[in-house]
Amino acid sequence: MPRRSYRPGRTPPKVKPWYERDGGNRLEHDRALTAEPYPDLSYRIDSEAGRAFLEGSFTLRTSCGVPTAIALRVVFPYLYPKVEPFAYDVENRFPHNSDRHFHTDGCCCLWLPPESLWNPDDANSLRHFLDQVAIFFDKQLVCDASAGKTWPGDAHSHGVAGYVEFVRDLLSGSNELLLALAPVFVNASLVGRNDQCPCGSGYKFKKCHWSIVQEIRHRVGSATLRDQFNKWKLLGADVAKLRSTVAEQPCPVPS
Amino acid sequence: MTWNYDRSRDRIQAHLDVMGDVTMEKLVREADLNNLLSETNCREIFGAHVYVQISNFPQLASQDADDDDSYKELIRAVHIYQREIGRIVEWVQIFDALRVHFQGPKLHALIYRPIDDDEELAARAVLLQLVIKDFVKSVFNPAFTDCDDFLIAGGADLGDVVGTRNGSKGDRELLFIGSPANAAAKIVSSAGQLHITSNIYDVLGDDLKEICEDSGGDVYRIAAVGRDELDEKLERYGIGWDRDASAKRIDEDIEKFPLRDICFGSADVAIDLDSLSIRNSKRVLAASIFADVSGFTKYIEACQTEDDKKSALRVFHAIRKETSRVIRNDFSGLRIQFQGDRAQGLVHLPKDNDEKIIERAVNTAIGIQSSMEHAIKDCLPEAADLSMAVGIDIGTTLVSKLGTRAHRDRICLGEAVEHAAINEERVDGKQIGISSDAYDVLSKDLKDHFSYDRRAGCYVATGLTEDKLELAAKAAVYQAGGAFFIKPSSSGITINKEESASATKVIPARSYAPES
Repeated sequence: MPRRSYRPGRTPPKVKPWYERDGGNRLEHDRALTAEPYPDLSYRIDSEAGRAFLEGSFTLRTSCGVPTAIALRVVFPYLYPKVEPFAYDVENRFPHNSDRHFHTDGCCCLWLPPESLWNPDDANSLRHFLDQVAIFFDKQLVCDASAGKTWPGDAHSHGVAGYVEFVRDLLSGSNELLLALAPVFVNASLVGRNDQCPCGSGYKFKKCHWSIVQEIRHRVGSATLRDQFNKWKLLGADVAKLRSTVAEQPCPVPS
Repeated sequence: MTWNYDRSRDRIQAHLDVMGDVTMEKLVREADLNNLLSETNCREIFGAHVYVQISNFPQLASQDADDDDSYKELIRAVHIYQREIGRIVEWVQIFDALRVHFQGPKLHALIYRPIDDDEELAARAVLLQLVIKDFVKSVFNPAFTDCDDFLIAGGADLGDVVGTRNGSKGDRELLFIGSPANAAAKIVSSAGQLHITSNIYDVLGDDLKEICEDSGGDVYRIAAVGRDELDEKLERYGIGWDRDASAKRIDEDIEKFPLRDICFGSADVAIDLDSLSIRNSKRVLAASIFADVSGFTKYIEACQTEDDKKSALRVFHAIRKETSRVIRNDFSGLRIQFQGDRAQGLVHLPKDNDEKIIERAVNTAIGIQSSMEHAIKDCLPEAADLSMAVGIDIGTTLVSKLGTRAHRDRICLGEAVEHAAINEERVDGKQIGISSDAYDVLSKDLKDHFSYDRRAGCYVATGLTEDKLELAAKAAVYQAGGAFFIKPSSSGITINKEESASATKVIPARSYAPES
């Protein structure tokens, strides 16, 4: 494959922001899609920066009718809709900490990235995304109202432990298997396809856990997988430590 | 039976729309306050507020509760006591004052004639307490030998209050808002003593000052006076109370209300308060509810202009009426009485089912808090600093209408009534206080919101409104997993498990968070 030569001084071609591509069809489509269910949200276009935002308030009503308005901003990345947008609690309605599944800047942590429900090929993906944001804020209100301020419903552990949980779930929940395959996640070239599987089954890796490892790499991303497992310093850890480390996380671990 | 935001907000707004402009003037000449005052026609009234209580009544009511004859004797005694006290207070030749109402065994009277004559009003406030004490000791107790003696405690304060009235036909009560009406009630001790505030003491004549002793905190205790000394003081102030005439009227009343005519029964359906009388009382297992607008007296006294006061009165009437509607319409309870800015309610159904009764009472209290925190504050932003304090207790309660014709007060008598009032007085705004008896039979879902408060001496829930209750219960629904349905409407999004045509099915994502 011929390498492209770098030509100094050449101005890169100007790329239209996403809301102008295809004659602005995507923006109009999304606008129509969200107008009825979320009438208090409206688009703001920052032409100079080439960015678009969906802003306004979510009004959540309890069954007894009490309304709670929550100020929201949805920020669309440059690669939207290939890449999912981000939702922000812009008026600090809730505490911005990891126990409440927020980044410190108010960005909502809706899901673990490998488990993202964002489907770039679905024309209704923004509506589905906002529905999840609505549920996320509803859970925040439930959390505020509950005595222990505990997160309601299913949640991953924070940070690295969340990734480990995700990988472990794909490995049928087996801590032993997770520990056995951990070196492969950190160093992909450690075990060849025709080597014995690290799980100890005696089979070749390609006949045993190779496909599931590939799926994990694909869903998490090789670099992320390596980083997360390196961070966690899993290598050399025993099963008891693995269990206790996961269990020690503040978020509830699903059984 | 449940509270609903839209319903609450709509009826508050409808009430405000028809209320009209509030007028308020100073009362400058004698008038019949029952005819003069209305929801919107209010007066600033200078006068002495006197509370006189049968201080040992809770004990009397509880010790006679199991013996029907003793209980009938007690009811008849209270009835005749209220009739005669009403005469002493209101008859022109005696005190020519206003019997505002009886709050169970407690009299609230307003002495406002002669207009703005502070010395005379103060003197009458002292003498009214002394007369009632003397009447009970020398006339009443000897006439009711089968009852234990009544012990009297009293309190009085002097100053300006706002007089108004609630507006339902056949259900009208005089309402007085201001610190004199509150302070007088607060200094009533349970020790059988009579007290006045410094506002009264400072303007008393020397002959009455000399029978008052400073008991600290701007409160003075009225010393006991002999019969001759009292008669001499009454004569000096032109108060024509005649001990023998009172005794004669008591004898006539005893003849008029023979014990065999005193009836009380249980109630399988909601008590019709209008049908109650001494001959048709109800004794039921019931939860008493007291709901007070916390800080309202200070709020109205802080109003600088007439317009501010009028605005405060609109707030007051909105809260008052909405509280009544939550009790009656939303939870099918009984609204017994308004006591200034405090409402008294009762829940007695399902019959003898303590768990359901207390659950309904607590839900009523939650409804009252919800109306205040959401609907009223949305309709009237000026009410932002106000909140409700609610007290509840459960126990056997006598519900009746006692007193003289055309002046019969709905009353509830029983230990639980007193304890509910005490719980309300001890909790702060936005709180609900329930006694341990009520807490013990409460369902777990509700119990979880209460914790024992040593200062209040009862179990307290803070900030508990219908939406909070609902959201707290929703935690378990989220925990159970499964799909939820998002239903958009013009007024917002509702998320729950109810499937409907316009709702979108969503399976909640498993949330995650970066390392903190």
